Amino acid sequence: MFTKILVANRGEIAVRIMHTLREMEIVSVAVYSDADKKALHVASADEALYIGDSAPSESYLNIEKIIDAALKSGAEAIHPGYGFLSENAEFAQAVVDAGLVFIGPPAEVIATLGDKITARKMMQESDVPVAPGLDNAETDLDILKDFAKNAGYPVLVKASAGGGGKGMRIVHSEIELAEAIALASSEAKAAFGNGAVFLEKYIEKPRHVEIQVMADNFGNAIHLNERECSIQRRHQKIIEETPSPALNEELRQQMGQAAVKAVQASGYIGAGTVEFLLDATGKFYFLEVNTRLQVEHPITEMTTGVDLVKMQVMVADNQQLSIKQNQIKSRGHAIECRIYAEDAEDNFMPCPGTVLLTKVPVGPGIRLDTGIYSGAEVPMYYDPIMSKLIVHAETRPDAIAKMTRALSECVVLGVKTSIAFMMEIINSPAFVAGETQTHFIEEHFSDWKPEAMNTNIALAGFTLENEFASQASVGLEQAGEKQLSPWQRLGKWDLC
Amino acid sequence: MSDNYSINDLQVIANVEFDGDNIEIEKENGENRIELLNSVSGKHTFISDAKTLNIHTAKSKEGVWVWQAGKVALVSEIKTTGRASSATTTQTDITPKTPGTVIRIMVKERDKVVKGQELVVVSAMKMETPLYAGFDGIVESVNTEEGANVKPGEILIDLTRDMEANND
Repeated sequence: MFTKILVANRGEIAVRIMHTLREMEIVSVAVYSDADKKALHVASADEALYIGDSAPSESYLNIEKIIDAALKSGAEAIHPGYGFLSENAEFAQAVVDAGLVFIGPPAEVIATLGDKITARKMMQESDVPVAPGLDNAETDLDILKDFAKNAGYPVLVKASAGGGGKGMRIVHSEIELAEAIALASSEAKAAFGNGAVFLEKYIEKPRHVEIQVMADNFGNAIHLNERECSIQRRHQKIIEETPSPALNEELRQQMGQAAVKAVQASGYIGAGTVEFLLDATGKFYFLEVNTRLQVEHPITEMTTGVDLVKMQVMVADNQQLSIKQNQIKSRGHAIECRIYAEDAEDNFMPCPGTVLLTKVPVGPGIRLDTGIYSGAEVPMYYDPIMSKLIVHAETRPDAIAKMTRALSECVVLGVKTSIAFMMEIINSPAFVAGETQTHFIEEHFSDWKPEAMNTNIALAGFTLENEFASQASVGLEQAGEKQLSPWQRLGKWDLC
Repeated sequence: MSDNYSINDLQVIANVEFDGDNIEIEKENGENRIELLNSVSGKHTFISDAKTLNIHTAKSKEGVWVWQAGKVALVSEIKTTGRASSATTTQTDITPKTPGTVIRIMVKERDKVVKGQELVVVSAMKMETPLYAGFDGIVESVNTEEGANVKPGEILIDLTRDMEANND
């Protein structure tokens, strides 16, 4: 087993990985940039190495610097976390070339699965359902009409060279097809210089359902059930849960087996996630494979009782999976809410700044994976995720109630968060009914405004804070103001 | 004697007095008494309208942050000079809303600009945010440069109103 592992990441995920490493009695090595000198992941590590400037390209995305740090520290392996270099095939290869172990799949597998068209073809060859589509651009209207008829309307006209929604049109019936293609094509030509278009089946209000998989070097591959990740804003997940309200046991087994097949077809090793889109009729279509640990992995850990990071390390240590498919049992219901430094009233604009005060909610079935502490900086250079709040309860309604209570106690002051927003989402009729799909927020919560605090309570808070200036007060730079003396902090007292 | 308070975007006039045990709040629409039970390290427990409530507070330059069961308010006192102590910038000041880096400046000193014209672009967390002129005017000074790290409150570009233009 490894004696020392370098975590090539920062924030809450680095802290979470280090917790497991410490429990496995493996020395953890952190890396940090200028902005992160006082970060929690640095304080949580056994050793920490400075790797450079705050800009990611100079630090967390810098392959050479990270490998140098690993070699210098004597680490035997590198855990890449999520984001940054975790799905970078060049990095994975460089780690191996340096004589170290990369905790993740082999570089070639990352490269293959990272190419969407190759991945799609690979899945088709393994009978994993993919969203029906023409794999090449097409101009012959009859061929397009035939495809649409077979796939079933509605279909999506997409520009081959496209992006950003340009050159895309939803077509609901054959009558509209010719015109839609012409319009999309000319739009694409104007925007990208290339008017070639192709068709794909349009999945209306899809659910985003993904399957966690784990594979070892000995040909064993298992799935650990699903995660429902349909609550998203700007295509980024914000609330996830398991089990998915849309899956029955049969569908779960079908999707699980499809995911395992996908993994075996690609020679996957380690932890991965196969993402699917689920339509309203219960048909699922392969979207992509994420060749790393996912942000939302804790909800799988809570319901199945496994430690996915530990499994990753053991697979990387060339051990066989210690658990078989028929031993994976999910129990109860888990929900995760991601806590970002962002303004839910202003299109979720990131709000870097200083966390003046934060508190950890406690109680049975509550887990907080956090990268912040009272007084911590949320730097502007990186993703503004601060923490993940996860709850586990016996039933879905219980989990919603527990998450509501936990969020209300998950104090974050100093930067804006979406906590109040998420409290409303999980108690909304649509969410309670399990009607989660990827357009949920646009449909039910666009133009959201928070409920105002009772003015008496707000004024009381203002008065009490000034009266008993708390230890959390930071940087009072107002001219002439001094820190309150102990005498002033005493409050009401009498000499008698 | 009442004071002007700013609670998020709301302005409230109230007379607030605290004697160490009770907080008396007098507003135009009535009076409220809050009985304090405990205050320690920014956590305060009190009774208001027969309910026991816990709030958390923290102080910053912009005012006092208050947390109550998921709701957040930023409270400050508006000084009698008429400018909020929590904010020294006005609606039309060219200042970023979040800390970031200036990546493009589109104007220079003495340029004439119209309301809505893009003046400077600030980048933060991979999002580019343009800042626009709030009125027809003339660029008096460009106070920053490309690559500079900037914060809310810093006026990046000073505009003076163009008196000859047709303002609304």
